[in-house]
Amino acid sequence: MKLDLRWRIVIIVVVLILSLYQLYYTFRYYTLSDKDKMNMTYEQINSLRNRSLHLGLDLQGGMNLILEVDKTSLSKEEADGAVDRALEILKNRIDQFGVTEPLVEKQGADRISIQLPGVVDRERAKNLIGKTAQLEFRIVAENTFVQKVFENIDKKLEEMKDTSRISTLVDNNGVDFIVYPENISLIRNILSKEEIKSLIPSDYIFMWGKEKNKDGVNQTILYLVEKNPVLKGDAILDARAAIGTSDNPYGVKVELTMNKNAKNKWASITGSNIGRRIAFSLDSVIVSAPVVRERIPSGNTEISMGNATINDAKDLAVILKAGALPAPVRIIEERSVGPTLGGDSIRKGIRSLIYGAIVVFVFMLIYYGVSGMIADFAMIFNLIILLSVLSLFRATLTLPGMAGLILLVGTAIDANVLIFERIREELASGKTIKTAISAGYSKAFSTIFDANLTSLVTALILYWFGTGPIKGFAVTLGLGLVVSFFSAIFVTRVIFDIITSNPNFKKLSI
Amino acid sequence: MNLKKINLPEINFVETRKITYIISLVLVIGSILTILFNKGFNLGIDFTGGIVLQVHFEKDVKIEQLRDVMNSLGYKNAVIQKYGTENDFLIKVQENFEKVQDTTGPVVVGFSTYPNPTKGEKNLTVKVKVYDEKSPVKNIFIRSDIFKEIKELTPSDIYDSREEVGVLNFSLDDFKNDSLVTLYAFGVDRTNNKGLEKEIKIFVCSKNADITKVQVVSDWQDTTYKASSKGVELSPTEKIISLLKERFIEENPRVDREEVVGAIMSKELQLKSLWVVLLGLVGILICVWIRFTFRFGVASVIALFHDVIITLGFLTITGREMSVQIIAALLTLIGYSINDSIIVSDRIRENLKLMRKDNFSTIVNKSLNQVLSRTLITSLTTLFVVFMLFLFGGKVLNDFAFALLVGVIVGTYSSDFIVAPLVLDWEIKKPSKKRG
Repeated sequence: MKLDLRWRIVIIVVVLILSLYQLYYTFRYYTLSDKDKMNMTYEQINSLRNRSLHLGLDLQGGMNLILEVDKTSLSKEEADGAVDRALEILKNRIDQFGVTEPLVEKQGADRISIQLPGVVDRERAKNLIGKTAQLEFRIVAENTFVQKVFENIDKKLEEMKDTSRISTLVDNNGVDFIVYPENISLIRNILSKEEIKSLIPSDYIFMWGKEKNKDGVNQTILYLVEKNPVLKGDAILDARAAIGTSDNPYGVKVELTMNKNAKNKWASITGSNIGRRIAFSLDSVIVSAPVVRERIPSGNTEISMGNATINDAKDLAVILKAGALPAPVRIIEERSVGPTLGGDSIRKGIRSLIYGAIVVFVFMLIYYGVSGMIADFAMIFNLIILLSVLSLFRATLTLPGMAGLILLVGTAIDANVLIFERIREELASGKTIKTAISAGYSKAFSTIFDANLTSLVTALILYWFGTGPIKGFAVTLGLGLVVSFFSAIFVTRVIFDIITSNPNFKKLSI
Repeated sequence: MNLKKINLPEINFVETRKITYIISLVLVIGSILTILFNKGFNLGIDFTGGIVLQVHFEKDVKIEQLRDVMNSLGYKNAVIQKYGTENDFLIKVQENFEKVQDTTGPVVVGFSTYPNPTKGEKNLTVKVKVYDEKSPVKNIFIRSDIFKEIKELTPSDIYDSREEVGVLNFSLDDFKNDSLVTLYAFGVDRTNNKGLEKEIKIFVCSKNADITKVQVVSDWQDTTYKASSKGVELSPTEKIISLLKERFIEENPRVDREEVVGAIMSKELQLKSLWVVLLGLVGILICVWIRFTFRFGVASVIALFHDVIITLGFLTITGREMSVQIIAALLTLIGYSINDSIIVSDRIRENLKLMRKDNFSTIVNKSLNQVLSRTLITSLTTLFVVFMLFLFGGKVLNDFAFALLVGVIVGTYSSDFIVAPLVLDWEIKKPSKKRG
């Protein structure tokens, strides 16, 4: 059992060197200046980051969402695998979002956890994640037809002694029926009247466009479209954002590729509707209603996005391509931390760690003398190994995890307190220093083991219980206990053995 | 160094145990009463659901101004407090932003007949529109005395599945000449909640096998409702943040922390927290049982209950909030505070072998005195760091540090003054067959 002292020293030195080597990456990564990063390739930075200690979202800032897939609206067959499908789709969408190291994973039976580190445009993220994106294509009624419906409505309004007239509330520019913000609710009101509703031909419905700002004026377009969509989102095989539309070289567009089944249908629809407009709607809001210029036999279709930004086009393409989520998802928990608060937390954490360590170290030094110093040394050793193990296992250091580190300084030193007290007892009973040390270590061992075991059990339970930050705490605590076993028992023992192996050694300061 | 040996006075634990029992009992009962008087714990949003926003402003902002913003959004119950510095605020709304369960069915919001014949029609179409706030609508039904079974309407509009229009075609055969027909329409949502039936009376006139006039007789009031969009509903934090940015342009608000906890999560966490604490205690019981004896296990767990309850009492009396962090602190406490009990138990176990002639109470007393200083020192080192965390760890970790601070003190006390005396009392009442 007892290894030769020399070998034990070798083990300690090797562990120390390996730990420091592992920690070097962390040190290097977090001290990189912008200039350094400029001079490094992406691969270099990435590999450095992968090897360094990961900070939780609560320390580096970021956004954590927990989504629940609402399966109530699905049939039993649909519900099977709905979460996995949603997971894949969300992964696709997130990948396009452009944050480093996003994490999308399943949590439990029907939950998905999404972690977006760094500075995140929260609203954009939530929109991209949450869109069910029911994409539908509908044929738009011709303007003369719409005007006729309006006339009928106005006639009815006159009959009803209602003073409002829909034709005056709508501004027809020859192409679109434009509604200004102040009139929207009036029109909604008119259209929701029962008498009016019966005037709308039963296979048509009114749908609204997206509010747009044109020449400083907000406007929304009212469309009368065929009720039954001619195509749905499942027809889309691929969608890409691109610049340069047929009428504007700088215009943003999304290029669609239809799948095999939809291709023929699309060809016949476009073929028989040349010159007419086909509206496409996302979640029942019409995004645009381009005119069909020609029969599209190949399925390759272009949606020009007017004066939208390329980011808008990208987001739209992502939504179209990744497909609609199989079921609505709900954000059931969201936690975001800004980078400022994260940085502040790190500073405060490190500060309490240093202060705590100083107090404990000084106390040990005063109370146990040289032996206390040995325990202090073991504690520093402990922290170094723990941090390197954390980074090696790619564990994440969270704010509660930092609290765990701090706590560990106070609790892991307990092992040494127990040993030292035992040695004092043995010395008091008249044993020689060497035998007292030996007895102290062996007798204190079972107590230390039992005490650490219970803490380990609770750390395991916490790991099961917690999400994110708390898991980080459990990991730090659990690993810390294991590592402290090595440092507080093995390392200090070796140091004692080194000291006592000196023939001139007379009195133990404990 | 003289400092090295703190000579603790010999304490007769066997005699003091009556007093410490009373002290503990008072503390535990006091804690329970505190919690009861407080009507339970101060649950944070982790447990109640709701939102927390931590906002930093670059210039001075008054709490009243923020209150105005929250009031204008309808959050009258929002808690607004300074957080750390003058320009940091914590805005908290404890409200469920999503209902856990949908228990109400769809509401019938619209009814129309189509076409409205002036000349004559063979068929009459009725449309029923229903709306459900929470779940998608599954089906719409109409029942009436004039037809035998309840008729299912085919939902046709599926643009927003929470709003459905059902269409049913009647032929003239369904009506007698010039009849007043009473229809009852209702919807059922996807969670199978049936909505209230809406009575609709229609007057149908017919002539020469044609329907000539249809009139809805019920004084129909079109219920106004707002359709909700499918997909993800933005949390109310977006509204608050955008209004803050609008109102305080100069002060340039920066959101440092945003937490939204849905009702599902919070309900789940309540249950899970209870479980996790109980599981922790059972885990300890088993550990101590295996490594020591069943009696030590039970005594330790009683002491842990004592520690947890008193810590909770202190948290409540100081107005601190229950959060996931507190649960983590409690569990850490359970794992840590048992350590001192183990030190004591270990020594008793050892002394039982060494002091075979002495009776149990002498052994317990001797053991406790032997290890008293080390239980104090191990707790002291932990208290040092927890205290530093409490002072310098920042606001976010403050409650966590406080819980541990109280817990470690109470835990050390209970390890020395409760666990071993309990085992002793047990032994006195019912001597175990085997010693130990």
